[in-house]
Amino acid sequence: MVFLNDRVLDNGLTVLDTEVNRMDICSAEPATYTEATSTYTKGNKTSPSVGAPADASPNGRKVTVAAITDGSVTATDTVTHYGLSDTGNSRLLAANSLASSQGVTNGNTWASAAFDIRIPDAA
Amino acid sequence: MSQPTVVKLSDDLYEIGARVRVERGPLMKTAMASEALFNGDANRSAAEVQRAELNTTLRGHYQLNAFDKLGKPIVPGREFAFLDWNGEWVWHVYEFIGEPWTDPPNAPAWRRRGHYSSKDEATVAAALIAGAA
Repeated sequence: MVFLNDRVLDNGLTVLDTEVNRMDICSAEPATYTEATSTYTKGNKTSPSVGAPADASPNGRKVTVAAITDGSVTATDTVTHYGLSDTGNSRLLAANSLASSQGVTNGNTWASAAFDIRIPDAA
Repeated sequence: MSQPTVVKLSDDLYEIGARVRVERGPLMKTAMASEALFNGDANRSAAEVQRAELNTTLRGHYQLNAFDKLGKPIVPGREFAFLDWNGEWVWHVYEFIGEPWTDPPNAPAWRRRGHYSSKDEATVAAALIAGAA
């Protein structure tokens, strides 16, 4: 398998660092920007903080999405996934499941611990 | 009948009139969950089992006892749903529903109205929905 310099991985991860400006908590895994920000969203946080690429464990590179304490809940439901989007360019940039499901109530706030998004080294 | 205006929001997202969108994304599929599918078996890795049974690979995006695409736990012996992120992507059609919908309660939102293999096909379908709206 080809060797990839960290710079190659970082140029992918940097998109998250520089372009993500919205995080949604969703009742299902979003396949598109529309689903992340409308169809399945139950709450969101604008301008979440995504760090610069750094070394990951056990290998590869990662960015860290900082903890959130003041997300807005926009509908009452159970959330199981998140989406990270670039609203300026209408792009869903990352999506994954949450560690556990969470019931949320419209009008409340939501919080999440910091988490990493990693690109492993080429196998 | 006049054609609805098409507005490009990104390379993968177009609005057809004010209430219909087409957007490129992965297709949802379903399969039977098993230990081998996620952890491999005596002779094959998980990726090899996935290629044989799903004709794609999940690359660790889905795991046993975690959530499937629909937010349900993935349990051996039960069907689960997944997005084929590594397979052929399709063009989804969405219609904006302005009234709150229930089960569960939701605000007005874009709801999915099917998918097509090409943008042209999706745009034709979207235009029909836009014309009927």
